[in-house]
Amino acid sequence: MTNINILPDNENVYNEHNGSDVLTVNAMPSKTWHWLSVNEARIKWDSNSEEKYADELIVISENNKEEIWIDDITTQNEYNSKKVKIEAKENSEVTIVSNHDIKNNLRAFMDINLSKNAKVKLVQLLSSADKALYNEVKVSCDEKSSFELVQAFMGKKQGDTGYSGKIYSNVIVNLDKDNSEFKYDMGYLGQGDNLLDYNLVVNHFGKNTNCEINVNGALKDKSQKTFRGTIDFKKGSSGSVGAENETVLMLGDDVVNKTVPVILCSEEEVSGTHGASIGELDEETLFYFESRGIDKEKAENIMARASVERLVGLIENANEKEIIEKTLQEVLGDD
Amino acid sequence: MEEKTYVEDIDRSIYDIKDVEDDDFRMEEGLTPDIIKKLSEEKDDPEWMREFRLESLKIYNELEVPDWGPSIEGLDMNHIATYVRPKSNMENTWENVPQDIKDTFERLGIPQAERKSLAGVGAQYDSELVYHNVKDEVAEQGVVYTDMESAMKGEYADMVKEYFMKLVPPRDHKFAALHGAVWSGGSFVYVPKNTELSIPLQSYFRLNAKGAGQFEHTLIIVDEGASLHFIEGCSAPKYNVANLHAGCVELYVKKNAKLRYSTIENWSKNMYNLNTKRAIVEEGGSVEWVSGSFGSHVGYLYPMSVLKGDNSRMEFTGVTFAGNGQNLDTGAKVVHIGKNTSSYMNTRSISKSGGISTFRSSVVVKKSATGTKSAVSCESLMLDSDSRSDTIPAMDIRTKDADVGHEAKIGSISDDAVFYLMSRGMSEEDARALIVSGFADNVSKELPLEYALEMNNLIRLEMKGSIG
Amino acid sequence: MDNKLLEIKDLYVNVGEKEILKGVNLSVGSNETHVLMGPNGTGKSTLGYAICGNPKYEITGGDIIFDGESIKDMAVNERAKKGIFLSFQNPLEVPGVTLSAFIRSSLEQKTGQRMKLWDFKKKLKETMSLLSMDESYAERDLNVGFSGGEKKKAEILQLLMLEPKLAILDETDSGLDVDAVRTVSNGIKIFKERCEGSLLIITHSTKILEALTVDKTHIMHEGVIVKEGDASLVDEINESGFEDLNN
Repeated sequence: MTNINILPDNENVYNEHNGSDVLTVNAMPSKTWHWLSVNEARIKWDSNSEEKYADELIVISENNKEEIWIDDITTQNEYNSKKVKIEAKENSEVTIVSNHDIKNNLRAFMDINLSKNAKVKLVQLLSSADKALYNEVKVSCDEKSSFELVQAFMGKKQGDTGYSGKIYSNVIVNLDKDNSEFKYDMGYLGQGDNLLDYNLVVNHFGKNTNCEINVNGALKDKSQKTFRGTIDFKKGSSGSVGAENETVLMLGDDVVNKTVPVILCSEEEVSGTHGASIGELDEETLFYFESRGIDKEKAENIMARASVERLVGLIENANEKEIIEKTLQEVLGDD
Repeated sequence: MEEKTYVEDIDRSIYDIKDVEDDDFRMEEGLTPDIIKKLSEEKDDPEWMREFRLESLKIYNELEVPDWGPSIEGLDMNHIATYVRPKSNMENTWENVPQDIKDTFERLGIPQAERKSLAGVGAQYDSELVYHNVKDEVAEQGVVYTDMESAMKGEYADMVKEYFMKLVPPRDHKFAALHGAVWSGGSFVYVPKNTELSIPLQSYFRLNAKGAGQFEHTLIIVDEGASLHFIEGCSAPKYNVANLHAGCVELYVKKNAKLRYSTIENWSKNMYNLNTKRAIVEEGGSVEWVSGSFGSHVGYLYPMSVLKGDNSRMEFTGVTFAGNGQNLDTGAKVVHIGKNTSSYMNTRSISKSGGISTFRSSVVVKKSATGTKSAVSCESLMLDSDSRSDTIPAMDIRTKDADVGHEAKIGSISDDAVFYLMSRGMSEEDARALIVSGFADNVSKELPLEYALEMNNLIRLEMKGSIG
Repeated sequence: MDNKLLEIKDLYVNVGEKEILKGVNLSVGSNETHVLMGPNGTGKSTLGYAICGNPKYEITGGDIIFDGESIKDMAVNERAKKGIFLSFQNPLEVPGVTLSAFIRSSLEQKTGQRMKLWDFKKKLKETMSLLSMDESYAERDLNVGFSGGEKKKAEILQLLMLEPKLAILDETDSGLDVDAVRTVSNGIKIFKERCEGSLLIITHSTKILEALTVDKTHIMHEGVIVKEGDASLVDEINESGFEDLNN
């Protein structure tokens, strides 16, 4: 009887980072077995470089309707840490678009407060050729407010080091008060050595709160992805509904996918569902494509593109739509 | 609408009857090398086992208590008696078993079941087996079913040495190390090549001694082309101090062999159940776990299947019912290594009267495991808002040639369903009990009839007084 | 060599362990319209899938000759490129891929070159209007949220855009209201006129055939063709049903 290694192969990506210059991020609220290396992510972060903050406060006054474009996360790099605080006052409605196209390692924080009846839609394009981005979004929702988040990640080629960007995304949404709601749509395309590490926590505190989560992505080459999605029904959140769905299209021979769909529940009158589907293009879809003359490789390319392109329909901003289309074109060489 | 009332501690009738403690030997409490040496001496271990125990104790002291599951702070190892020998040798007829112990197993229905529907029975009382017997026709097929101690010293000594704690090494986790140090009792089963057992074998574990631990080791080898159904039952009366169960089950399923392992766990609610179960499946083999978890104060239980051979498969069907004062963390693990392997997990959790149930799982698909198919489906039922139900699954997929699905659902009993049943003349209590039994029928369907009845009785018992 | 576009010779097909087709013989000439009828569960759709090359349908005997060449070992997409088109009974929903992008990709695979966007859009727009399809469907995700009728129209739209040599329509008319059947039927007629293609229509009703001239009718029962005739056989079946097939 020889010893069998029952641990996942090459489990070193997360564990290689130890010591003082390491940031621990994306911690799950409920831990599981350590050998799975999913409880948190550790980022190698140069602690010698000085923290240079850029802070910003945006207030949307009562009953106002606005559209805000935050583009200096892209262009200026005099800081390595950016904090934006957004206050959406009662009955306000705002769409915030931000394009994180980083040239250096960056930590970006966004704190969003929604007052009664406020509606906030945040669209984030996270993109990196070979640098690490930690992107945090923390949201609290008052009565009848509604928060919508659309996030896209597409790898970027840049010289020989292209497609080695690392994205750490941490989204924490507190549905604090009754009848607040949250909708999340995320799409990604991992390739090369991309490392995508997502953590999502939705805390249902208020009664009749609602969340809907859709995550779609494709992994090519050697890319690695972790998605931890937690829906937490706190005591008192009766009448709440939470649904989460993840689809991962596995295209590369060396890809790694980790999925941890968690539901925590301390309330009787709630309904929570989770679904995940991981694998190659399913036979039925493939057959439909092939019956129209489209071969497997092409069909996979189309579906990989679709996982991000799906988001275009959720975005009103023409500029942002164009960026997605343009990047997809660069990355997949289509159209 | 009437207020809901809760009955804190239900009468668990037969399971709770305590025998007067009248042991032959009770090890002093605590864990030291001296105690381990003494235990080894009492058990007359071979030399390698004595060393294995001491090494395991060392590992135990090195490893941390898990920080991700239910709290085990109430468990003080310095106050657990690791070895309690009953005043009985192992017998192969019930007549020779001391009257009070025999009565206990009679109440639990073991001799009756043996006569009716089992191929063999092992009965453990505290740390040692008091009864072991297989039907002649089964023994004639070459099937070996004996206690671990005899196996370790007898004809199968080499086999035991080759397989013992190789699948669950003491380093695996703190309580595996504890088991390695203080294990005692349990069963050894060997089913020869191409031998099919049509009726099950059963081991029953009863922990009567207050403040003691039970650490039985079950080692089953189902050789090529053979098949076996093994049933495990366990219970204990309730005491106001902590008892500990840290058993270990190692299952070796060879090429094209089949093993079904069924458990109805009904430990008393002062029990810390930190059990480890694992199977390794060779080419074309299959392991099926059927698991009902009803008892214990705290439970950590996740049978693991290592699908090593090509075309091997596993199925896990489980139900967990956590009532007042219970924190049951249960689930399953699978590792796909061979090609075209498949796994299927289907579980139900029920939480009631402040009980906490957690479904925890892991699906690991290694790069070598092309053609893997895996599906996990878990459903949880919350019976009130004092309870808690968590679902913590994880998937780690490293080949694109895999088809992995996961489905989870959490909710409460639908008022419409209760109303419908009541409109047909059923009381609310019966209606809710019926719905819960129906919810758990994924497991009861898989059990032999008598055990399914026992399980439904347990559910009815747990549901009693849930409304008033 | 006679004018046979499709020739099915003694075809045996299994789905899993089960044998569905048990020696089917059937041929379709160029620019001909054939109707395939028969009771439910008799193997009609299986024949469609086998011709198209669905890997779940295993050919255990016989052969399929298309355009003078055996296609039975050819990949699905290669068959499509050769000019075989199957209109699905339940077209698949594909989120994230627009109807227009899907058709354009298919065309590109067939012709080997990408059609100019302007030309493509123009042709797509024209064809959609022939089918009374709202233009907005072009930019909607393929079949996602389409009604039963719209899905079938989207299939016919693909038929007209891809211009295959042989179209197999698998109950394209089922579950449609009168207007939708008329539109679909009209679309099929345009296909005949525009592409001079052949048709194998699997159907239960005559409505879809009204605008067409049927050349031949085949009746399938329990995995074999039991009866063949001209257009009048369709009416005959509609009057007396399939009951006397067992004789």
